[in-house]
Amino acid sequence: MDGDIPESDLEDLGNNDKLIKDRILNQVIAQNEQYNLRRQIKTITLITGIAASLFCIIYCSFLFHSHHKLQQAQVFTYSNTTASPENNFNGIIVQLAKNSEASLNQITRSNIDLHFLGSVMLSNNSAQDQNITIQHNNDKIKKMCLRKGHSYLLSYLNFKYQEVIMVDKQSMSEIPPALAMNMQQQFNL
Amino acid sequence: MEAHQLQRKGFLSISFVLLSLIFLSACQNKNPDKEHQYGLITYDSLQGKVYFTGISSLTGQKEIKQGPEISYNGFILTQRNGRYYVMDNEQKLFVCYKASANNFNQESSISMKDIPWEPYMSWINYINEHTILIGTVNKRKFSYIEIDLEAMKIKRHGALNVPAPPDTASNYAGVSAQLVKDKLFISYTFQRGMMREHIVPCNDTLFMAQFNYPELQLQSTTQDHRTTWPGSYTILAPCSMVYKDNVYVLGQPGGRTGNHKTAPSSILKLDTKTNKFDPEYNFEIANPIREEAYTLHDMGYGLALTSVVQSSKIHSFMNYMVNRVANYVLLDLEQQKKIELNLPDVQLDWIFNTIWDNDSAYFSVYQKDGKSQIWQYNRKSGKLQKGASIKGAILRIDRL
Repeated sequence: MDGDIPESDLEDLGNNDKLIKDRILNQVIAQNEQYNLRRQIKTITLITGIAASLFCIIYCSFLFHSHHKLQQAQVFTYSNTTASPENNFNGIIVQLAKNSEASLNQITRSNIDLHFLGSVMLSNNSAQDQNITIQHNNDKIKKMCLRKGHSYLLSYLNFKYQEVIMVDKQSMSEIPPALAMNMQQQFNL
Repeated sequence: MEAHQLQRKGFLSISFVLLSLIFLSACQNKNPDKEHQYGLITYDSLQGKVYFTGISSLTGQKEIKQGPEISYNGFILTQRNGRYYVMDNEQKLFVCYKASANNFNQESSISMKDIPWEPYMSWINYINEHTILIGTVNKRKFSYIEIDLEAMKIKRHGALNVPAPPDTASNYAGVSAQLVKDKLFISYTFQRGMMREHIVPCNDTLFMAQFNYPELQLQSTTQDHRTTWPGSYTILAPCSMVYKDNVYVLGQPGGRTGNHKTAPSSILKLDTKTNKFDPEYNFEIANPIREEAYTLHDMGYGLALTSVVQSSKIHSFMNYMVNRVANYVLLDLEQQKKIELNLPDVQLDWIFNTIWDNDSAYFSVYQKDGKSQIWQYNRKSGKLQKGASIKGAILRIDRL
């Protein structure tokens, strides 16, 4: 009797094996899933990294390229073929009065050195304010900010010595009337 | 019995009139535009924006909240009943803007095409409450435009036959005019060249041409050698005024205008009956060696405000334009007396930042902190005290 295994016990043993098998199978499946997930994460990370690197490379090359697209220096001279010659220097529209000349040198993205003869009108059509530095033999170095969207008139006036006169087009009443009238004629204001 | 009825009727009539007055005044207060007695136009140089602010009082030490941002193109020539009249030289238009608590809108305009006007050589006079006479010099010729502001209509325009310059190289300079009853007095001088290459000192003489009104025909001329450049720098800078039927004209021969090395900044008095300058009246308001004076703003009852510049502060022309080189001085024209105000130095601006009433004269000082402080000068007590303040530089103070 003792050595006999009751039929119900055998059935239990069979059931236990099945349970163990199922448990092992489930563990294997779970481990496989985890492994697959880790692989997927690794793949996504790798792709994201590559994409980010590519983006950085493209962005940097764009910046590098666009920086180098700015004109470094240019000289504009009045031409009597057109009444009011207009020139574009990195978004600064340069208009020249009769017999005038302007030389612009882009030092940094928002700093320009200017030398000019005669009278000049500068209109800042660029995306940002621009600082210009003007040097003239008889005058001190002058700096002014060309505000985005504003136009400025520049000329020389022999008051105590020959000095540079700079004025926003909206404030022309600040300069001597004859000079203002002359500017009006020259730039068709 | 009849007397009692009459008394009752009288009482009822008075009550009715009083109630009507109360009702009308209540209705008037509901109009938001009437709440603002004064209009301030201010400029924020950091933002590069212009604002309109309506306020009820200039007094009381309070900071006024800035009104809405506004935009217009050209020169504000005058203001009347809350309407600002602007000459837009680019579009060739004379434009009327209506100002209210929240808006500054274009209401109407007149075409100025083919009508000469030069903002830097012009003046403006009132003929009556709603009619202005604009004078101008364009291509070496004087002309006028008469405009009815109410109808927004040019009534007439034509030439003013001011005597011609002495030679072809000379131009009219420093022009201004005053209309006194039926006489128009135009003051001017001459200057050779156009100042592009250099500033040539102006002529030594102050000229005055008298026209009749409304005919606007030349009647007489006179001149004076005690000062020169008797006109405004632009239409925005008055330098003459009328008081008790006399025209007071400030000669401005300083470096910013006439650039005459020896002529003093003096006020002369023109007798409008004889059309001659009073030989006994010469109000020298600035030391000719050390000082220069510019602009003459009428402050009421024979008072005027001028800007005096210490010549030692001027090393270049740009100093006039960007530095605080001037200070305000009140002038008693009859007594020929200067009233020092001891206020901070200001820039030599061409602005209309003054107004006056029966008791006081008001003007603003643009401070280094970016705010304009209004000052009140009590004419009777001679006391100067702070009034309201506002962010930005005041360009105009107007009674709406």
